Parts: sequence; structure tokens; C-alpha cells
Amino acid sequence: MKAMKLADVPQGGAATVEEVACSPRERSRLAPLGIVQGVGVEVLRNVNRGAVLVEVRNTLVAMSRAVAEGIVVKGER
Amino acid sequence: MQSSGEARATVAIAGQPNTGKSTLFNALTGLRQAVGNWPGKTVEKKSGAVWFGKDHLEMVDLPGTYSLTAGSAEERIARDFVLDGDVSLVLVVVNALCLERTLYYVSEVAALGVPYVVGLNMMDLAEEAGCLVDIGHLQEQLGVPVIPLVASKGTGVEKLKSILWSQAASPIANDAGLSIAWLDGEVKEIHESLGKFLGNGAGRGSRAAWEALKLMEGDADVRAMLQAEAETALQEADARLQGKDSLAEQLVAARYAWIRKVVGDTSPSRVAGERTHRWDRWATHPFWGLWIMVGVLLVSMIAGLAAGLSPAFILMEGVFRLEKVVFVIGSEYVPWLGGLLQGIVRGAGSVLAIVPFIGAFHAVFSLLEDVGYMARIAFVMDRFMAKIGLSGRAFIPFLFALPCNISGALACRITDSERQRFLTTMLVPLVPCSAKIAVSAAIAAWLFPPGIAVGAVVGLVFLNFLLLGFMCKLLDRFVLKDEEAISLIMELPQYQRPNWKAIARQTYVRCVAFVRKAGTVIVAFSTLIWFAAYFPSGEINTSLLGYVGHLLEPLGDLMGLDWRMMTALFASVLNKEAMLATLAVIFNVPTTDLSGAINASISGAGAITFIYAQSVFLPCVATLGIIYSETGKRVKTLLGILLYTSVLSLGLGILLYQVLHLLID
Repeated sequence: MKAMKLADVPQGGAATVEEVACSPRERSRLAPLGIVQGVGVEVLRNVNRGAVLVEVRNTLVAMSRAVAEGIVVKGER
Repeated sequence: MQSSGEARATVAIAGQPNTGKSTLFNALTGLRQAVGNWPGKTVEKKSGAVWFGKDHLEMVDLPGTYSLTAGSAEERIARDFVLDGDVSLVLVVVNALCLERTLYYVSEVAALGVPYVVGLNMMDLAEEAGCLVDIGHLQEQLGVPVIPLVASKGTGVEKLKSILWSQAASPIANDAGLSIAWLDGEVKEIHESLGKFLGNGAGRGSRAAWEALKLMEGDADVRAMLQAEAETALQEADARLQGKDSLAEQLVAARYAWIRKVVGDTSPSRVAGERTHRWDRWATHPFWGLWIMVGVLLVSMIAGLAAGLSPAFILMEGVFRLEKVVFVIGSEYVPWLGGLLQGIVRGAGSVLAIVPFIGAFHAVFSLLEDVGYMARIAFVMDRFMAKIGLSGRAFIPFLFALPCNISGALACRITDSERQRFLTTMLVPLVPCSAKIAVSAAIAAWLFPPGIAVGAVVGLVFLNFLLLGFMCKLLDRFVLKDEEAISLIMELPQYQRPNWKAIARQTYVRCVAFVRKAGTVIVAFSTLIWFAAYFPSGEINTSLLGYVGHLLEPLGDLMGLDWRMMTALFASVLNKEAMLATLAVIFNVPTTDLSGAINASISGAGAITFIYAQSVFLPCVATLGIIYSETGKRVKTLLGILLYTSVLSLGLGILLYQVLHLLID
């Protein structure tokens, strides 16, 4: 249960978003897709340098690794 | 479609991607649609009419975006059209399967202060997934009509029509006034006081509430607008907002709190169904995903070519016969008239012949988009394309440009932003099409032993893509310098069965739009070039084009090419496949003896330069025609392409020849 980056959550893991510390433009793109503080995410795809795929509020959201590096989460496993 | 009088009112249809917005638009307007671009933008604009007896409403399809904050060209277009356009009513489409997320867009529209109604689409899928939506509750909470729909089957569309009709006439006011329904607590107080100040103190009128909200969110466009129109008000507003740091986050939280209240007891479901998860295990796999993509795209490309080319050949056969007839008839009167008529027939015929080709590729792209696979390609390709500042989807236009630049130029529309579409459209001509590769291969085979010839052609294709990457960086740096590239953030939609009717409809509408817009341009240009190759003597050697070739001889000298090669280079704009045939005519030898004739007239360095120069020379007229009809800034885009392809082929060609000349001749 410690703070980590979304990009570091292993594939198959789940986490809760603590803070979306991305650029304002990226934040304004993430918010309508449901990625905001307090929301639970499930990491479906996360391997070496590729984009990260998560499931949030019943939506599959893909983001490049750089974006996932900016999202602080609390891991659940 | 009986009368063609003025529309009673304009209704904008808006919503997030993957809500079935386009399907609904098609169901409402039928086949009579005007497809074009938003003024000055390379973003598709579709409009149509919804008929009620002899009266109609004008329906405008806004670009599908996730929000209305100034983030992209698409968001600005949608926002500005609602704010500045003569819009009486906005129809917001939401997806019953992902209600929470798609209601986010409703919170944006609610803040704009325009009347709106909500189309609750995909009710069938929601029911299947066990997701029961309490429509009564939704309607009560929103205070506007909510119409359940299954747009793909036309369910609820008639009821929606009658509601649009009555609402457009006397809409329920969206009285954003100074309060926005979903604001609460501290942010509500800050917003109200700022809105009052902007409304009364700064005279911002009915937009005050929206402007106050966007200032709190830190929207760059609204800041710039106020900076220009009411600078002191902006300073005062900034002073009021000073020290309140996390307003944007608080506003997002307020939106979602409101959304939860609006949704009420709607039972949530696990939307990404079993099937989507199962397929994505393969489709998004770092290794298998790539190979699946290569396979899917190759099959799509072959299917598109197979479906598009055979009717094209049959049509062209007819055109060839007809042009011979008109040539003979015309030539009896004036020698050059035959050439002119032949040019017109050839031009019109080639437009006709590429329509099936274009239709086939539009259908293929619509299909890939419709089933939800396009988004997976973007996901898989992201890490490769990001290196040159392009998104994963930008890979598709370049791949499809290989068989023919026409399909590549068409594919640019599937990219995800105006920025991407601009870059891909500009760069597609640098992808060597099969015709250019064939010409390179033929000439290389005449000049070099087989091993070296193969190496030369592979090297050339590689060089073309290197130039493409280089030009992309250059355009990004100097033309798009203000527009920041945004990293991939996108939804992967659920996989679904293709809606064949919708695909057919879309393909038809786009083909009609192509003939209308690109048709005349292509016919005019081909006629012009054909005429130049015939006038006044009926022989290309002594024609206007031949004369231009002679004029360009000094330039040709620098590249080791004589006037005949220069003439052939310029004539290739008409049709890349005809390059060898043109050369044979100019050299006055049968095509079979062309190798000897060329070998005798240019050096090895000149030949390599020629192969290179033709591979990056201006694209063919048909490709230019497509680009013209697909882009917003038409003239600028075309001039840009003409300029850079000329510089690359002629400028770099000279350099290449001068170096090679020293080394090998």
C-alpha cells in the first residue's frame, strides 16, 4: 500500500489514483476518460517500453508510458 | 426531400467518440449529406437535413471529442460552432453502456448555456450487459428530454425527430445564467462571484458563466480571448483566483459528483465484455499484437486493391477505346483538337476509374474503425511512431500509400487529430508508390547487374522513408511550432459487429463528395498536361511540354539528364505508371528497346539520379486531387507539397549527381 507511479504497477495489478501530476493539457484529456483522483484502475497491459492499457469506470484507456509515469497511485497488491 | 427552402433551425449533434453519434446522424439525415471540411481546417464536416413534410431542420455533425476544453482543433471547432454559430439546439449523444463517462460531455454542454436534449444511445447493448438505466431519474435530474435510442437499428429515431422538431421551435431554456447545475460547495461560490463580475462588471453577457468556469479551469483560449477583449477584467479575475491552486481538480471532482447523482441507481456493469478482453489479450500483445496488425492490414490492403482495381481496369479499357475514337474525329478538324479531346476523355475517365478504388478503401477503413480495431493499431504502434512525433494511427496512411498514394492520401482521415492529419497528408507523397518502385526497378535492372539493382531499389525505398522522417521533424519544428504534440491518451472501444448498412452509406456519401470536389480538379489538370504534351504538333517531342523540357535543359545538365528525361519527369505527374511508355515515345523506340536507348543517352550517375529524382518528384494528379479535396487549407497544402517535392527531387538530385559524377563516371 505505498505510493507509486501507474507505469510501475505490474500487468494484472490494481491501484487507486492518488494524484494526476501530468501537464494541464494531459490532465484535461484524462479527466473526461474518468482518470481522476480517487478512481480505481486495473492495469491490463504494461510491458517494457510500450503504451499502458488500463480499465477505469468500465472504459479501456490506453496511454503512452510518459503519461502513466505522471500518474501517482496507491497499489492494492 | 421535396422542398428546398430555408431550414427552420440548426441543430448540432455532439458527443464523445464511440457513442454512435455518426450512426445516429446518418439515421436522421439519410443519404443527402454534404461532406466537406470545417472552414480552413482538415477536420471533416458533415451536415444534412431532417425533414418534416415540407419543412426541415439543418443538422450539423460536430467532431467527436471527449470534452470541450481548448485542447485540440476538434474541440475548438465544436465549442466555437455552438457558441458562435446559429445553433438553436444541441443533441448530445451519450452511450448507455458508459453513462458516467459520456455524461461528462453533457456537463460541458450544460455550461455553454445553449438548449440541449440527450440521446441515450446503445440501449440494446446496455440491456444485454444487464445495465439498467433509469430514464425517468435521468430526465428529472438533467431537466431536459432524454430519448432512449438504438441508432444502429433506427429504434427511437422517429420519436427523437419529433422531439427535435418541437424543441428547436421552443427549446427548454438551458438557463445556465450565473449558475451551472453541477457546481457545488466552494467552487460554486467562487464561480458565481466571478461570473457576476464578468457578466455585470465586465459586460460579458450570456457567456459570463461559461467564461468564468473556463478561467477557473485554466483554459488557454478563454484567457487569450479575454486578454484581447477585456484585459482589465482578466486582470481582476486573475486577482480573484489568486492562491486558489487546485480549482481545476475540484471542478473535475464536482462534475463527477454531479454525474453520480444524475446516474442514480443505474446498475453498473462490467462493460469491457468477455469478448473484448479475450480478443485484446492477443490484439494488444506486445509481440503477437504487431503480427496480427501486419496481417490484418495486409489482408485489408489486398481486399481493397482487389475490389477496387478490377472495375478500374474495365472502366479504363472503355476509356482507351473512346479516346481513340474522339482522337480520330477531333484530328480531322484541327490536329491538336484530337489531343485535347483525348485529354478530356482520359481525365474524366480516370476520375471515373478511381471511384471504385476509392470506394473500396473507404469501406475498408470504415470497417476497421467500426469493429473497433483501428484503436488497437494506434496502441500497438505508439512506441514506434512517437519517435518522429506521430501517433500510432499515422502508420496506416504510410502503409496504404505503398501500393498507391491515392489510398494513402485517403487513409490520412483516420488519424486522430488535425495535427496528425496535416503531417500525414503532407508526407504521403514521399512514400514511393508501386508505380514509382516499378519504374525504379526497371531502370535499375537495365543499368546494373541484378544483385546491385535489387540493392539499389531497396536502398531507394529506405532513403524515401528516411526523407519522410526528416521532413516530418522539419514540419513539426517550423510549420507546427506552436502546436504541442500530445502523448497518446485514448479509449479503446469495445469490439462490435460491423454495421454493413452504415459502412455502405458512409462509403457512398464519401465517393459522391470525391467526384464533386476532386473530380473537376483532376479532369482540369490532366487535360492541361495532356494538352501540353500534344499542342501544337501532336508529338510530345515538339509539344509545349517538350519545349519546357528543352527550357529546363540547363537544370537537367546539373543532374546529368537531357531534355528528354526532364520531359518524361514532368509528364509523370499525369500518371506514374506511364513513365516508361512516355520515355519510349520521346526516344521514339519501342518499349522493349528502351533500355539500350537510355543506356546510350545518360551516364550511370545520371541514371541513379533519375531513379532518385522520380521517386520523390511531385505525386500524380489523382493524388493531388484527393489531397485537394481532403484538406482544409487546400491551396497552401498543395503549394507546400509542390515546393518540398521539387526541392527534394531537383535540389537534392543535383547534389546527388554532382557527388556521384565525381565518384563513378
